[in-house]
Amino acid sequence: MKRIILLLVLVPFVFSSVSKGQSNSPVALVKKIVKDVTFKKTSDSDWDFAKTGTPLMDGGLVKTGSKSLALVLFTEGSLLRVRENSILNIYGSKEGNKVSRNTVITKGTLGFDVQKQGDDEFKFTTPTAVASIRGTDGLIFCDSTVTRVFLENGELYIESTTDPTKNGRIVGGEKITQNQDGTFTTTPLTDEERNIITQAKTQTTKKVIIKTAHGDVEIEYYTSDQQ
Amino acid sequence: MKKTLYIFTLLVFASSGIFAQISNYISGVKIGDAKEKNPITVIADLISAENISEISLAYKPFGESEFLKLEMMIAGNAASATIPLDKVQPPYIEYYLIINLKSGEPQTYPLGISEGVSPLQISVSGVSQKDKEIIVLSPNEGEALSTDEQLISISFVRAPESIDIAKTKFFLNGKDVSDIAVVAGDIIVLSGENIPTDFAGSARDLRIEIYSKDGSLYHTLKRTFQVVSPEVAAAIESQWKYNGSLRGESRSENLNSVGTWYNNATANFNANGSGIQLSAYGYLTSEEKAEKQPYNRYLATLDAGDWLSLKAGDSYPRFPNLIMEGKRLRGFSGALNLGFINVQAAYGETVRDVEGKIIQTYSASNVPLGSDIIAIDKVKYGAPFAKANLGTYNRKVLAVRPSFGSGENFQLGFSYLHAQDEVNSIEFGARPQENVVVGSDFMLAFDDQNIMFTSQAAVSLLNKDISNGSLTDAQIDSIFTADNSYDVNASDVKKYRDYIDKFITVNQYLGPWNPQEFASLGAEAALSLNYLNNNVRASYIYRGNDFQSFGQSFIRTDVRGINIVDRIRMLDNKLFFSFGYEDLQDNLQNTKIATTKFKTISASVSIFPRADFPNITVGYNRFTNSNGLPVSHPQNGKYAIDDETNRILVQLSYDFIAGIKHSSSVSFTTSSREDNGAANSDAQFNNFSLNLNSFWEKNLMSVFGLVYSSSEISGTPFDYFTISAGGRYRMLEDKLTLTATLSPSFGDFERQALEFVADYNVLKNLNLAFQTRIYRIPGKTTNSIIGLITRYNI
Repeated sequence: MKRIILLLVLVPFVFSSVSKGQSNSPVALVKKIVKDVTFKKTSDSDWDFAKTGTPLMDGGLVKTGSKSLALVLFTEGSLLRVRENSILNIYGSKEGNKVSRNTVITKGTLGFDVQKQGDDEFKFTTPTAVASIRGTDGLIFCDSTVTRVFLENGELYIESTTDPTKNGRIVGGEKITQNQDGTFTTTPLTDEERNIITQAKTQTTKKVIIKTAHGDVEIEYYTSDQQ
Repeated sequence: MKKTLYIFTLLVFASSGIFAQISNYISGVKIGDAKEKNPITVIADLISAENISEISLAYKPFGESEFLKLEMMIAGNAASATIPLDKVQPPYIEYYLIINLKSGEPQTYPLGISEGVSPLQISVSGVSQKDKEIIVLSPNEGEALSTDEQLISISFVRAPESIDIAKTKFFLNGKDVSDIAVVAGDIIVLSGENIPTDFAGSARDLRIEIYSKDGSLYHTLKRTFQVVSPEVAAAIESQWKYNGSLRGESRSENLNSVGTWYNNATANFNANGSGIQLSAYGYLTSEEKAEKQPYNRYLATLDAGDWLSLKAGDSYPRFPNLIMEGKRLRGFSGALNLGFINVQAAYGETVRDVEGKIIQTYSASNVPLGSDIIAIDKVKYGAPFAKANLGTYNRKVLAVRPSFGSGENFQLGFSYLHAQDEVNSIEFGARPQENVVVGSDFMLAFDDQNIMFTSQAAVSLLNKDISNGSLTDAQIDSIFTADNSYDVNASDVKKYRDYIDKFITVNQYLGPWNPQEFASLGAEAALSLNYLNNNVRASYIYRGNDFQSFGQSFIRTDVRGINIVDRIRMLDNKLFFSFGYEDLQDNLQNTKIATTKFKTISASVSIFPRADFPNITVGYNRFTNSNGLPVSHPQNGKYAIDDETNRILVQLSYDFIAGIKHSSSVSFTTSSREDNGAANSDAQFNNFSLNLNSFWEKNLMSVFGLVYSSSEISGTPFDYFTISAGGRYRMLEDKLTLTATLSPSFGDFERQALEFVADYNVLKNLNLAFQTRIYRIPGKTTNSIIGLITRYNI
C-alpha cells in the first residue's frame, strides 16, 4: 500500500519533470489494438476506445483488458507492447534535440524496443523502481511489490524508487529482479526466458465467432501463455 | 539546356547497372545498389562456364592496403558474391574478378590487371542525415497490414525547424493521398478506412515528399508494404512465414564448334516464425564431376535472433581475416552469442579429394627427378615409381573462436585453426600439408564507437609434407647423436616432438625455421576516430613471409607498414573528401635481394547531391614501387624495381527528364605507368564508358552503351570500341517480357554479341525464361548459348 501511495506521489512528479516544454504535439500513437484497449487523453479525461492511429498526448493513459494487447509507437520510433491487464501512463517532452520519455506502469507486462539517440532519455517507472534504458529491447514485469526486467539487447540501469542506493545495471542477455528489500539480483537469461521475449514480440491473436439471432459477433483476442 | 548538356557530357557508373568489358568468359557484371553500410552483391554473367574452375571477387575499399578476396558461387551461367556491409564505405570500392580456368591458366576481368589495367569501381553513396531526421513510424519496410489496420505515419520530432510539415505529400502506388493526412503536432497520420483500397493487388509503394518552408523539396522517403485481409494479416503474425522457389535450367553451349549441354536445378526454401529463421538451399548441376572440385552446393541454416546461428553444408565462415575469410567450407559452422561469452566454430572440408593419374612408370634404376614423380605400389602397378598427374588431397579445416564481450564496446577473441590434408584420401598425390594458426583479436570502443581500437595477431605453423608422419624416435636418435654438432639432447627433442605433435605433424618439413624473426607472424592494429565529420583511421600491418592460413587463400604476406585514411563528410553526406596514404615494404626476413617500398597516395572528391544534379566522383591514385637497385647493376640489375603509376578516375551518374525519364552514367579512367625498372613495362590505359537507360513508357525501356578502351602495355597497343543497344518490352498484361541487346566491338577486339531473353509468367508463381546469346568473332567462330529456365515459387 505504501508503494501505491508513493506511486501516486511520483506520478505527478514524473509528469511535471518531463512536461517542461510540452506542446500539443502527440508523444505517441496507437499502432495496433487487439480486443479491449482504451485510452485517456489526460488523466482527467474519460476512458475511450482506442483505434489504430489514435494519438496519445503527454499525460495520456492506455489500458488493456483481459486477452488484449496494444502496440504504442512513440514519435522517436520506440515501440511498447502493452500486454493484457496493464495500465500505462505516457509522458514526454522535447527540448531542443533532446527527447525525453517516461512511462509509468502500475501493474502488468510491457515489452519495449527503444530507439534512443544522443542525449535522449527513456525511462520506465514502476511502483518499486525506475529504469533508464538506452537503445535496447526486452520485457518489464511489475506489480505493486516487485519489478523484473528481461533484457535482450542493449543496456539498462535500474534503481529503487525509495532508495536510489539500491540499484543495478544489466546488459543484453541478462535479467534483473528486485527483491522485497528493494535490492536487485542479476542473473543470465535462461533459454525459456529468451523464448518468452521472442514470443512477446509476436502478436498472436485468436478469433471467436458467436452466432446470435442478430448476426455473428467476432471477438478477436490476444493469446499468450507466458506471465 | 542544362539537361541537354548533361546528356552529352555527364557520366557515371549508375548505382545499379550492367558493366561490360572484354572477356572470353564474362559477358558483363551486374552490381546492386551501392549505399554505405549496405552489402553489395556482384553478379558476373558467364559465357563459357565449363572452362572455369573458380572465380573470385577481389575488392578494395578506398584507401585500404590490399584487395580482399571472396570466392564467388557459380550457379548456371552466373557467379555471385556479396561484399559485406562493413566494407561498403564512400566514396568507392575498386574491384576485379579473378578467373581460374580449368586449364590452370588464370585470367582477370577486366583483362590485364597485373599488367597495369585499372580495376573497376563501384561508387558508394553515403547515408543521409535526413533519414534520421524524418522517422517513418509506420509501416515498416515490407510489413503486411490488414485493411482495417492500415497506418501510415511519420514523425518530425527530430526534424529541423525549416521543414513545413503541412506541405508533406503522400503517394500510394503513385496516387496522391495527401488530402486524407491528419497533421497532429510533430506527426502526420493516415489511418484506417480513410486510406484508399482500390489498388490492384496487395503491394503498395509509398512515397513521401517532405518540403521546406521555402517550398523546395527537402527529402523523399520510400516504403513498400502489403495490405491484406484481416484473416491473412492474423495468419502472417501468428504463423510461420515461409517461401521458396524451384528453378530448373537446361542450356546448350556451342563454343568453338564444340557443343555441350548443361542441366541444373536450384531449390530455395525460407521459413521464419517465433524468432527463428530457417533456410535451405540446394544447387545440383550436370557439371558436378568426381574428378573436379564440387560444383553442387547445399546449405541449411538456422538463426535464432542474434544469439544462435547454425549452418550445415557449403558456407563461407568469417573469422578474423588472418584466420579464415572468404573460403568455402563444406561442413558445419555456427556461432553462439550469449552476450559476454560467445563461441564461433567451423568444421568441414575446403578441398575435395580428386584422384591423380599415372602417366608413366619407372623402375628404381631409371627414375628421373621431378616434383611429379611419386612412389607407387610396385606389386599393383609393376614398378616402384611413376610420373603422375598429381591428385588433390581432401583437406579438413577446424576453426574455433571463443570471445568475450558483446562487440559493442569491447571484445577479446582467441582463434585456433587446424587444417590437414587427409594422407590416405588419394593414391596418386604428393606432399600433403598441415597448417595450424593461433591468433587473438581485440576491440575497444568508446563514445558510441566514435573512438575504436582494433587489433589482431596470429602465428602460423605449416608442414609442407606430412606423408610420412612425425619423426620417429630412431630418426631423432640418428640425427641428434651424442657427438652431433647441434648441441641438442635427443631426449629433449622427443619431448618437444610429443608435445607439438598433438597439434601438428613434426618432421623436417615443419616451418617456419626462423620463428625468432617473426616469419610466420601476422598482426595488425588500427585506431579509428569519428569526430567533426572526419572519419580517420590509422593502421599498421605486419605479415611475415611465412605466414599462411589454409582458411584464407589470398592474404598478402611479406609486408609491413602504415596506412592512414581520412573520409571527410560535408553537407549532410552530400560531399565527401577522402584522402589515403600508405607506406609499405617487403623483405621482412631478408629473403630477397633488396627491399621494395610501396607507396600509395589516394584522394577523391564525391558529390551525391540527391537532387536534380549528377552524382560526381573524381579520384586520383599514385603508386610508387622501388627497391633501390639500379638497372645498370651488373649482377642484380635484373631485379631492379622502379615504377610509378598515376591514375585519374571520373564518374558521373544522373537521372533526368528529357521528354521521358532517363538514367545515365559515364565513367572515364586514365592511368599511366612509367617503369624504369628491369621489367621496363610501361603502360598507358584509357577507358571511357557511357550507359543510358531510357524509360519510354510503362512497358518499354531502352538501353544504350558505349565503351572505348585504349591501352599500350610494354609497347603493345590494344584499342577497341563497343556499342551496346537494346531494350526491354513488357506485353500480354506484363506476363511476357522480351529483352534484347546487340553489342558489336570493333578495333583490336572484334566481336558481335547478341543476347535475347523471353520471360513468360505462365502462372502467378510459374515462370519460363528462354535465353539465347550469340557471339560471332569475324573470320573465326560463332559461339552460342541457348537455355530454358523454369522457375516455380512456393
